[in-house]
Amino acid sequence: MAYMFVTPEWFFVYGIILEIFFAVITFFVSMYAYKIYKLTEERQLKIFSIAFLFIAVAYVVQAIMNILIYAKLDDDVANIVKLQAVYLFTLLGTYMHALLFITGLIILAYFTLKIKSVRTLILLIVLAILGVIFSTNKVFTFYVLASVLLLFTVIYYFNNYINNKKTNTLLVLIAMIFLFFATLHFMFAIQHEIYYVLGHILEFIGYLLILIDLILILQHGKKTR
Amino acid sequence: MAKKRDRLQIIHDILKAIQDKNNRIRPTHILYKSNLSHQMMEEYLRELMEKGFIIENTESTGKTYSLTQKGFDYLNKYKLIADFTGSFGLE
Repeated sequence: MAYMFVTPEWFFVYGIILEIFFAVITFFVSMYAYKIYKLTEERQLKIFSIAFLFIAVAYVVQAIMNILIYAKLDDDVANIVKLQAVYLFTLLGTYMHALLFITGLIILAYFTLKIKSVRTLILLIVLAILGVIFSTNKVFTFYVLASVLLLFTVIYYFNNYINNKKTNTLLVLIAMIFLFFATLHFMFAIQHEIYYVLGHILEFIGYLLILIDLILILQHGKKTR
Repeated sequence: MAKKRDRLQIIHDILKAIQDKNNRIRPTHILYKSNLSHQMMEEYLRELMEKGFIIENTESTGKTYSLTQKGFDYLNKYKLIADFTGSFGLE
């Protein structure tokens, strides 16, 4: 079966499972950041929570669209109708995922810049979204933007680790490096589907490290309470 | 970078000082325990009252401060707060 997108056929279901996993982890981070925000009333925790919420919703959208594509591909309908539906879902899903994901990453980058101007944040989001919408290769532009934003985040977490050398900060730094390299791989997924698979695997390792970090935080919090 | 973590630690120290004094403490004791300048302490106390962590009591002998439930929650969950904020660079 010839697909119109970069996902290899054998990886389709695994991809959906992984996207649901990414959504759960990012939602968990968002929820926890919000919980800590309610305890401390610190503004950056709210920003951080919103950033991860956008990323979580981006993964949910991606997973739902992929499920719809998968269901359509299995439909026993005329090929041309099937391809049109798949094309529409791909287009819609990709755009929505890209816009939500970029917004989440910009909010994350905004928090790392330690500025307090909401107008700056809005300007960054508008510029990035317009950049994606009006570019000729939208998917490629999205991944380039995401890579730049993640590189900023990696630098921030590198400095965080240097200033606070602990297992937790190291885990987050390594997780962010994996997420950065995952995005780099997605940039080349248009040329070869193996990069799409590799991107997902790297992303999985990244989010797994974040999950381990959260578990360590919760265990430590319980022990010393 | 370490500025914010210090902030969370200072808030913890102020709240802990109040708790350790049977939840009723004079500003002079807070000043001594928190190791802050008078102006900084006033700013922190104002912020903590605005956020609902402490309340001010006016007594015949002067002002005292007490923790609210939110203040106790902060102290109980401080380790979690410090670990989470430290881990994700949210200090």
